Order: sequence, then structure tokens, then C-alpha cells
Amino acid sequence: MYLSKQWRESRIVSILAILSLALLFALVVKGATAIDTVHFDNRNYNGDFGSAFVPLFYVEAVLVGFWGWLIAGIGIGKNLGEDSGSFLLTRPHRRAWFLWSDWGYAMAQVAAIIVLTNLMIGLLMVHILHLMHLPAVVPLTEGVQSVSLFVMMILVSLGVLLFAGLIYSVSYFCTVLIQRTSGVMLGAGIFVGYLVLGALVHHYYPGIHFPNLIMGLFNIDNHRFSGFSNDLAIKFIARAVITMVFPIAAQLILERSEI
Amino acid sequence: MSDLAIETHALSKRYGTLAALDRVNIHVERGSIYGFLGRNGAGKTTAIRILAGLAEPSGGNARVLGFEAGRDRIEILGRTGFVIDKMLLPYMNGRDLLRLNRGFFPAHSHAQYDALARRYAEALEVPLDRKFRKLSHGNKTKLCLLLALAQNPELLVLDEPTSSLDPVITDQLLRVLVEDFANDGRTILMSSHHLSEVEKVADWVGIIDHGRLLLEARLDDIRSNYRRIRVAGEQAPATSPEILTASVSGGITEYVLCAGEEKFVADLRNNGATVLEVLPMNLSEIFLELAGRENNVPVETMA
Repeated sequence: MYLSKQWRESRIVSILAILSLALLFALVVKGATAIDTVHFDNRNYNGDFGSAFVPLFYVEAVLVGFWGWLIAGIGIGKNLGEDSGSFLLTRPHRRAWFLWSDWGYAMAQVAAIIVLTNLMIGLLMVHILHLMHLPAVVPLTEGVQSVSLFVMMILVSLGVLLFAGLIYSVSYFCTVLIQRTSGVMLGAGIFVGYLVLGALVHHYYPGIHFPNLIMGLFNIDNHRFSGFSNDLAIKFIARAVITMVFPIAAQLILERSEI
Repeated sequence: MSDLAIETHALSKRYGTLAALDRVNIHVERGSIYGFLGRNGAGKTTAIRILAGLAEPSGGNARVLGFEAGRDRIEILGRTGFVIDKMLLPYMNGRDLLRLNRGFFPAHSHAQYDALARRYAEALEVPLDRKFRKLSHGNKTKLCLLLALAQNPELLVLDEPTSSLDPVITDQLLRVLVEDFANDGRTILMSSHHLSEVEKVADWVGIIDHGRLLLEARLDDIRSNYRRIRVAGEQAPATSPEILTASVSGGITEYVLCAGEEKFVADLRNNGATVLEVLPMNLSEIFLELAGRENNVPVETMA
């Protein structure tokens, strides 16, 4: 039943997100259809195939990240700001239950959209590689020469999920912290501040790089995906841990809050 | 099992230097209707929020239906209907809200819950097809109450349920509370500053002011035992533990007594005082005597 509340509150944002991703995909398909008419020959292939899709991944990450930010404003923080929090929090459930229901629902939606989007992008890539008479592998650096397209799409999906998850978790935490929807603005401020600070620090101290929000996943070096390095697993685990810190902190705050 | 549905012991709540509750001891008998009276800001809502587990006490403790408030929150909330802020999810209509609420009480069968909801919705005349945000203030309050009643609680805790309601809706609401709910032997704690309404329905009253419980008594005891006694002279010589208040004005001493009227009057006469009149007191007069001494009390509370 709580699921119905979550859907009612998030459906407009969810439908907009799906529509925008569908539009993005339609544009890509239109481009691919145009390519179909061209004679493909792997003799013309210079290894730049992967980088052709990188802008698409970036757009996907930005859209899903933006969507994660928007739905962070929907949940118990919003209810507390609207004074309906005392109604919900006098239902016989632990406060943590409300918080993790919100978090789980949002992450499940984010994951479903990313998987669907990347499935479509992956199929498109397979189609183009097939036209070019090329195997469905992606060239990499860092010791590993190549990885199958399937593995690559899983890694991309996971990376985008962790990126959107971090944005959602930080913004959701802020809504619980200040007990109103406008906490998402604080969340946005944190990310903008991080990027600005990172740029300033890098400007004055070129040797210092703040960790990349998308973990450098889509970095291309000499026509190869250099982001898929051997330490990717460690990056993913570290990002997952950081992402989980925020809902846990939000739970601690909510459980100690006076409503 | 304790005979008390609600029991607080030295319950205190401080916000910085402000004592919202100061060692409050409340005793609400099972099966009673308890009017929790106080002016705005007296500490009623703070006490109710602590009972609901929405706020933590700074000191003391509270037990609801035998469970420790705060620690046993889930057990209390499963058995108690709280109506505090009168604010539900604004985009949902009554039916959606009833369905949402039903999901939180899996112990009740859907049929039982729906039957109760239908019964109370008819009794309260709540429009279930309109979104909450589009309801009038009175209907919002009634819908909040309906949700609490549909979960079939042993205890209802209502924070100023009749505030800003017109007399017709107030009457309807009180009738449902007394006839349909309390007559089944269940307990109601109702905070209010509308004394006439509380006087109509309550068995017990507690009067709180500035965070301190000034009085807790059966309403019948108040009616039969509480007396205002006017005595000529400013030096009326009488002391008694039953004196609630004593004031001197214009050569007349006025006592408010909570018991022992005959003995007190006899003592006064034995001491040579002239007793001018002995008057029974109603709840409003008691309330004004206790809580309305320092400042003017709004006319509505005197009704």
C-alpha cells in the first residue's frame, strides 16, 4: 500500500524521465538507420567505435542523475515538510522502514530505467558492429585488451546506477536533514560546490584531481576505453559504500528527530 | 494489566530554558473519556507527541496501554489512534487514504477494516471521493478521525479535534466519539481549550498550564465537591489542604475549595468570619480560576 503512495508521488517525474530517455533513444535509432544505408566495411574502422557512444552514455548519466535528484524530493522528508509526517510516523512501523522503503523504491526505479536504456543502446551497438562485420567486443587499455560488449554494458549500467544513486542518496539525505522537499536544493548545491571546488583546486594545484563523479568510466584514450581499468572493482565498491553512508545517516537523523 | 490506559510519571520536556512540560503526572483510566485542558501553548500537544513517540521526554516516563512510550512505539501505535496535525497526504482522496492506512494494520482483516470505515464514514458524513487538499477544515478533521477509528484502536488520542469546527460538526464528531466509540468501553484522551465541549463528554479532566498539571479530577467530583466561598473581611482565618486558591479583593476573601465544604464553612464561622455565599462551580470557572489568573482568557474558552 505504501508503494501506491510512492508511485502517486513520483509518477509524473518517472514518466518524464522515461519519455526523455525514449526521445534520446529515438534520436540514436534515427542516426543508426541513416548509417544503415552506408556501406560498412571494417577496413574503414579505426577503433573509434566506442567513443562514438560515449556522448550517449554521458547524456544518459546526466538524465538519470537529474531524475535521481528530482525523486529525492519525494519521500518522508517531503511529508515532514507538509506536516503529513506526523500521520505517517504514527503508523505502526519503524521510522527506518519508511526511509528504506523510499530509498529502495527510488533505486529500483533508477536501476530499471538504466537497464532498459542500456539494453536498447547495447542492441543498437551490436547491430552496428554486425553491419561492420566486427565482433561484439570493446577495445580497452590497462592490460586488458578487450571486453565483450555485454560486460561493458553491465559495467556502464553499474557505473551510471552508482552515479545516480549517489545524487539521489545525498539529496534525499538533505530532505530528511532539513525536513522539507527543498533539501534537494541543498543536495544540488553540494554537487555543484564539489565540481567548482574540484575545478579550482585543479587550477591552482594541477597535480590534485578530485574523484570523478562517474568514476572516469567513459574516459577514452587513443580510441580505447581507458576508464575500464583493473581497479574498477575497487572504485565501484568505494562508491557503493559512500552512497550507502547517506541513507544510513538519514536513518540516524530521522530516528532521533522530533516531529 | 494496569487499569490505566495512559500513565505518566514526572514527565518533563524542555526546549532550551523553556519547560514545555514540568513533572507532569497524568492518569487516564481505561474506558474513560479524559479531557486534557489547557490554554494555547500550555503543553498539551507536547505531551501527546511524547505519547505518540514523535518527541522524546527530557525526564520522567509515560506508559500507554502498559507499553513504554518511545521504547515500545510500534506496540502503542498498533493499538492507538492518534490524531495530531490533522494533515494527511493532500493529493489522495478519502478512499485512497483509507486503503493506504489499511496496509499499515495487517492484523485486522480487510473486511473488518472496510466495515468499520464504512460505518464511521456514514456516521461522520465524510466525503470520500474528494482529494484531501480540497476538503473543508471540518471534513479534513473528520477524515483524520475516520482513519483513526477504522483501525479499531483500544485508545484514541486526539489533539484539539474540535478546534475551528462549527457547532454542528463539533456535535456530530462528539456524538460519534461517545456513542460509537467510547460506549464500547474504549478510552479517549482529548485535548482541548473548548471547555463546554469537554464538559459534555468527559469523565475525567486534567488541567495543564505552563507545562504543569494543575488539576486532575473526575468531572462529577468537580460538580459535587468544588465550591467557591466568599467571606467578608480580608483576614478570614482559615487554612485547609482542600483550598485550591484563595484571593482577597475589596474586603472580601474568596476561596475555591476542592472538598470538605461543610467543615471548612463551620471552621470559618467558629473563627468569627461571616460567610457571604457558597457557590457550586462548573468546569469553566475552575479552569479560569486555575489557568486564567495571570492574563485575560479568550472569550471562546469561557463559553
